[in-house]
Amino acid sequence: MLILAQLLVSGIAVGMIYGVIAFGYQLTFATSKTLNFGQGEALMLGSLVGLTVVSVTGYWLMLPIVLAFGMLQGAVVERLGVRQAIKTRSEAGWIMATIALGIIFKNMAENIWGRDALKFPSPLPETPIGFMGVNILPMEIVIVVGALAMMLAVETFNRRSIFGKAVVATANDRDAAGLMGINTSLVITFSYALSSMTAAFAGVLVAPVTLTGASMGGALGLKAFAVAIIGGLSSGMGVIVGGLILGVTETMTGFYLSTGYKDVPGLVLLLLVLSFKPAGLFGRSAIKKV
Amino acid sequence: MLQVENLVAGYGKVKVLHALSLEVPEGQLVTLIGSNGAGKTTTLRALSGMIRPESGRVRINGADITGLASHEITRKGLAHSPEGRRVFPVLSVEDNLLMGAFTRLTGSRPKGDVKADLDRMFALFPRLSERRLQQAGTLSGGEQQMLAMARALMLNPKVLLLDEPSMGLAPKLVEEVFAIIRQLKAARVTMLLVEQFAAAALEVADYAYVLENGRLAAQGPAAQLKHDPAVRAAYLGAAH
Amino acid sequence: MPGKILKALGLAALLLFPFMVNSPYYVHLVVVVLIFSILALGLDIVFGYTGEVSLSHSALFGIGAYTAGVLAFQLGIGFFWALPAGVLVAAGFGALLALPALRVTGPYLAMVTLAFGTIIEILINEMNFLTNGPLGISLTKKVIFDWRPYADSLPFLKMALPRMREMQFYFVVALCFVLTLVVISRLVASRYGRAFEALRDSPIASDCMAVSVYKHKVLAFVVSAGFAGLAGVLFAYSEQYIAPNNFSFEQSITFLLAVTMGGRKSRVGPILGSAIVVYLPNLLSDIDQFRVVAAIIAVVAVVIGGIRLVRVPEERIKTAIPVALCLAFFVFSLFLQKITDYKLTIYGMMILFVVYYLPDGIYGFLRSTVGRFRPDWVRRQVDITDQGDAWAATAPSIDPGKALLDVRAVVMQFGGVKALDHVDISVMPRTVHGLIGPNGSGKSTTMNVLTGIYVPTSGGVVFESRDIAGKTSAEIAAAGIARTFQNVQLFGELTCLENIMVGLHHTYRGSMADVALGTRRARREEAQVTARAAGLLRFVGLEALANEEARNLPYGKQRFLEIARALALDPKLLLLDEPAAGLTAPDIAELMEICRRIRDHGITMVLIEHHMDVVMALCDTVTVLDFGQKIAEGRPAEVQADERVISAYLGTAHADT
Repeated sequence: MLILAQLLVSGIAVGMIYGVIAFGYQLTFATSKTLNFGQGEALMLGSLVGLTVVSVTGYWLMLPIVLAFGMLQGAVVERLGVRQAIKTRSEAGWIMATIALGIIFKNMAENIWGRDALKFPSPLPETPIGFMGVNILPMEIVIVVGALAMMLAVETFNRRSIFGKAVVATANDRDAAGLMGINTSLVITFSYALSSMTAAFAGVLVAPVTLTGASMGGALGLKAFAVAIIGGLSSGMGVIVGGLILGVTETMTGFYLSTGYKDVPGLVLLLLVLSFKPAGLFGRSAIKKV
Repeated sequence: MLQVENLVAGYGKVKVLHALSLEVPEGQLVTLIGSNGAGKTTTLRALSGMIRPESGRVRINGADITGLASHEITRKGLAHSPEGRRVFPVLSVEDNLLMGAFTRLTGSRPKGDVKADLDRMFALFPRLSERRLQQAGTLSGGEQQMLAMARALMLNPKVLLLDEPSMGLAPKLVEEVFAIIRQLKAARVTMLLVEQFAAAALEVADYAYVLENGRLAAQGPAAQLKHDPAVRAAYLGAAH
Repeated sequence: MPGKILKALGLAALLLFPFMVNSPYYVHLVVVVLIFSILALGLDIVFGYTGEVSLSHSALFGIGAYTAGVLAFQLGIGFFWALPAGVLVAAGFGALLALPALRVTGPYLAMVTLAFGTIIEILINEMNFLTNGPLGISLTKKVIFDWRPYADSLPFLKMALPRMREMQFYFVVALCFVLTLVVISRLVASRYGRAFEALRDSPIASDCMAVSVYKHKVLAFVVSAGFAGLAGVLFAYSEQYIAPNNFSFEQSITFLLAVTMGGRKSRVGPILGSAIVVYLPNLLSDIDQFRVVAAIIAVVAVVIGGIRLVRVPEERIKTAIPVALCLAFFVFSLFLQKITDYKLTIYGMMILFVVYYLPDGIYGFLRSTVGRFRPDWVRRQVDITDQGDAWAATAPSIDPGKALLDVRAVVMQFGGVKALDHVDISVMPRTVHGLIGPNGSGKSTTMNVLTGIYVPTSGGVVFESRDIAGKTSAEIAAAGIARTFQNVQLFGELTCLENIMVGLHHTYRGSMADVALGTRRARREEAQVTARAAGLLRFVGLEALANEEARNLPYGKQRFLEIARALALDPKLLLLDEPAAGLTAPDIAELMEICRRIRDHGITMVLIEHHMDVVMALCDTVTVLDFGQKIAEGRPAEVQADERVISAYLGTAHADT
């Protein structure tokens, strides 16, 4: 029972990370019906840039720098990889282009930071706190709080500010938003910036607990996509629930089966959900139109 | 106020409009009528930049707006209440109206008193004021139509394009919508009204253009066209 | 004719190559190019023809390789058994993935295939008991045929004696390659290839032509997986050692790069692309050589850019960007020291460049350049010698006294809106039934319910005494209901003739094996269908445009082609959705003539139309919809005079009418 509770706790922390990245997928999908196949690489870059900056500024001051870097990186992805493909309505175009940018970023990171996994200094003590017999790392609490805070911040921005409402309007109906005088291409660039920003943030949240390195992105990005699909690409609550489901399943698999297999359940879940309920467990199915 | 010369537009290979010219003088209500597929909606879409015209000129107050993107055209003061209402379903009624004033709130058009205009809209459309905080997607068809019109008015536009405000509405609501159009006319809002219900449109308009297969079939003061058999023929075909 | 000569030359080069080149290194390089080509040609079926991005091909490649590896390592079973086993196992896994996954498309499918690829990579790594895990498996090529006894009499065999094993393996691979080339060429030129292209251009129209999108996508994927498996087995024996990292995500990207860069939807393209991606790592290992190539690319880009600048000066910025990129690439190459570390960056940049500036790949670019000067060299040309009859040999038998189509109290609800509210329509055989009404009155919804695109909320649709509500579009089409679309849905990249041949898909009886083997039956059927398609083209007056791509047709002609394609289905009921929309007056006259001739052939029609003249002239009965309800029905003149119809169209005026 205690083991189960312990697994649950670690699962929640991992799951929240997936939730944040999946939330990033939702942001761009809402405005442009596209997503960044290099989302995992956005996370990896955020984390490695954070690693470089952290030695100068310390952990907390590093955060705004990494967030700004993430926004810039997202804007670059949109301009280079997505904009043209949206214009020509080439689906294979943006899929290939964002994949290509992803491998370029990864390769660049390998050349700058090396191929090995690196230790990210933790801002908090690395001794677990005992709570009713369950060990919790202080950083795990930061992850859960930070992830929720990030999602809440973006949601608040979208609901309260006039520019946030313009983002929602663009997501609802791009043509009509244009008629309101909203520059919708800029909104799409902005949504990519926000999306990469959340990914970069997730990167520096998770790095102190796991390790960081050029190859950390791929699996995370893919599993976060699984979460986005399980939760539905349009449901905010869905990604949190989906993230938790996956996080917990994964730690269980790692413990009871083998850590080598821990990525498998998420991917299998992705296969199953997409195949049998493509709109996600929490999403509504769309009506196809001629 | 709005001048259109030899406008050619369409979708890909399909040319819908063949050299259309029309004019909307300041403070007047001009209507564009014609049967389904005649090109009325395409005209409005080309004017507001939702599609890019192939050739021709569009001017507002003498300023050339041909080929600009729709957000740029909106910033020049042209508002368009599009076919099918196109309200933002997830946003509240009030937020939809604020979106109409987006260019004013973000400084690309004179700000004026947005708050007062909001209250003015709620006075003009009392049904909306009851549903102020409700999501627009939950409104009935008639309410959405009113919201779309109010949203367009929030721009304080120089010209307002109205696309089929009566479409899909029950007869009683159609009357309500036309009553509001009359009020706007009395307030000297410059409008271009596209309508399928020709009789009702000719009733309120100052001047009318009849469109048939992307070309003008007739034009003249609305009162004159009302009894023109050519108008009926454009809809139902010549009687056999 | 020049095509045949080129093919013969290619084959000769393939046969003679190992005797001409003495270095085993280059022979091995060509073997790898051929193996990659087999995979890329197969991948092109999915990526080029059906237009779906698959990131699972490295995994399928790995499954083939590990089938060979496991058979040899665990059971000691050799190459010739591994070959069919690898193909079957990979095709089996392909089916396992495709059957559920191909219900989704685009980015979803790309992600699912990526997930599948990752799972396979993990399994290969973790299932130590089977795959020997990260340590990998070693295998050895064996001598297939010992030619030492004959070496004395045949000097070229003697010359090749020291490399007997490598040479023999080379020929096995070359044989597999040639077989792949032949089978895939036949497949894509057959009705299957046309179906693959059709479903990409317009999935809805494919389903409505009784060509099931889902079924054909799965088919394409499974075939493609089989070739990936074949390539895998060959690869395992060519390298004599396989490990999990041979089959990573990056490998899938490499294959996709090969296909896009070489040129999709061709045979030359994937081979060319494979040659480039196999040779590239060698190029990258030598920095000086790499700089020379980068310089050549930059010079070529400047020359092409310069020519374009003179020809289309208004696009100077659009032209300048890729040229600048090529120049920057050269400068970049000067600064680099250890180029191999940047291999993936270079791959990524190549993909970006190809996606934006060479969407048809190198081969496609060459073709279109050549085509500008000698259009007849590159055009797909089918000579129509004998034009068949446009109509099927047996006329459909229909009970004349009973309604052919009966729509009974159909309700179609979207959310809270009733788009159709208890609509009854009864269409008598051999009549033209008009369906009119203002915008948003439910006409197109009716059409979509009739063809299975929507499933009605309640009510029934009875066609020839069978309830078809809830059947798929493809099933309904097969039952004998054909349609055209309001916004024309042709297969843009297929020629007019091929568009109609997709409509005739249902007349084929031969199997895929017939096509692959090129049997007499397959050839006879193809000739018959071509002739009949030509007859249908003549029926709508398009025989002169038979080899023109449908997207290049003027709009009016596109509408006629769509009607001819619908007729190819041998329908009992033809649904025309606004056929006159956007047509010029002479086109409308021609359309009406075509409709009359279709009616004379005993085909029942339902016509949605806004041009009242057309409705009045053609229809026997007219149904009027408003707000999803039937408000009038009767003979055209009666309906035209009906007060309710007039008010639905004109609206009721309030004051003085």
